[in-house]
Amino acid sequence: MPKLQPGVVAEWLKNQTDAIETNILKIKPLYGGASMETWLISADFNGGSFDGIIDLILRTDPDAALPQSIGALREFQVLQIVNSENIITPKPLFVDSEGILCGKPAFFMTSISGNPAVQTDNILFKDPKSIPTSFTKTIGRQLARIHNIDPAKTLINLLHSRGQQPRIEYFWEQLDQIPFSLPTIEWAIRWLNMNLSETNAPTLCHGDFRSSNIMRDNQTLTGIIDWEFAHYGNPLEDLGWFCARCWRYGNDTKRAGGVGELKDLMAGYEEEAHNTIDWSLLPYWEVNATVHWSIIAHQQGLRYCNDSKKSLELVLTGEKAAEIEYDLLEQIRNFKG
Amino acid sequence: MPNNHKTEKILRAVNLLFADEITPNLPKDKVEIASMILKGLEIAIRYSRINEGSKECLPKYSFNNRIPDAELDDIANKIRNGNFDDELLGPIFEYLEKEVSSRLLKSNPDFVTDKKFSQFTAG
Repeated sequence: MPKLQPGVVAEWLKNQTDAIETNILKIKPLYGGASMETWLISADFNGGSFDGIIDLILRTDPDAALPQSIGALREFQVLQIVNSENIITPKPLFVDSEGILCGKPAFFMTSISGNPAVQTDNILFKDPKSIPTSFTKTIGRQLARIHNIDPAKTLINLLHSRGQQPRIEYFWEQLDQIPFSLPTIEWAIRWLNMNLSETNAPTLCHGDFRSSNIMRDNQTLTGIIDWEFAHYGNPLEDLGWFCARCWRYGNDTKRAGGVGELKDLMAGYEEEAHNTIDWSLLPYWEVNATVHWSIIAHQQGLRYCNDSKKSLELVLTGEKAAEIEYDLLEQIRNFKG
Repeated sequence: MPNNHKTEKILRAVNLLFADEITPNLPKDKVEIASMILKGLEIAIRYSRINEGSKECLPKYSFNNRIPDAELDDIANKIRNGNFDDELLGPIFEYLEKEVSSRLLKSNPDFVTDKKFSQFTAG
């Protein structure tokens, strides 16, 4: 990760907020997330629009981004759009398009309280039984609101557009960039192609909608984070990603992201959704999600990273790909869609 | 003592020392990093063990750098071209299961039986 200069950050923030003085109290790199580099910055503002001590989040592109990533500047714009549509997200604040802070475009957003709905590591795992039904319904409602956003209204040119058939072509395209053959993933893509289902009209998709990107403070959903893979696609893509076994964090019986029941997710979603979802297609889209994750796991394993912790995390994710491929074999063998 | 045997022995010692002496005393915010390190060491130990011995035991996949494999290339091409479309769950399935299992032996051998995903994800 680039080394941030507290003096430069303080001066830049002072100018953005019209403060008389700004002091940086803490700069802490945050890990997790797919590929963006992220810091928690605690700043003390004297005067201006942020008088007092405030925690902010700074995000920038990594040295080697995943090809699916839309980059920091577009993520900032997407956050502005979804924030204005009553979707609970961090509030986008300031954008540094010139790269003054870290040598590449970056943006600030508000820090949100709470923890991921499910912790992503084995040791700190939190009991999903403590998550109430209403929380799962809220997740469904929030996801429906994302899918309700009218593409025509929301800078459609900002994002990649992927329907269903192009998505399979997109998988092939991604696979061809990996410098070794992955026959199991080829096989699964072949299966997806032979079992294509009817498509929904493209909607805005979060692109990485899983429990660890949904923050909660006790029983309140406090924010949906990590919008770097936002694009236009089939709404079932987000639903399949959320429900796929690989994103249930070991809580296999909780099909809704490892945190709740599918019926509650569906109930919340249908309360708000403008489009009709054929839920019988969900198992197909769970396979689709697992194919996508298996490709990303290999891509992550091939990524270069200067940061030693992130670097080990990337290596381990590359190693994890075999688990995901094995799961694909099992899902397709047992498929009853 | 073959070099790989030595490597395995050293890695095992590092793993044990780290698990016994360092991990229990770590502050909460470092526990996740420690468990990642232990996981990485475990995988490295399995790779060093499998690397030892005859050429046939060489892994087709080693930390993010697969050795080109003409057989896998050929199978992958045939799958994409639809050669197995009539029998996706036929012999090709068994072949793929074996190929993936051979990689799991190094990265997470328990997965074949317990199906539990490791949760260290830069996802």
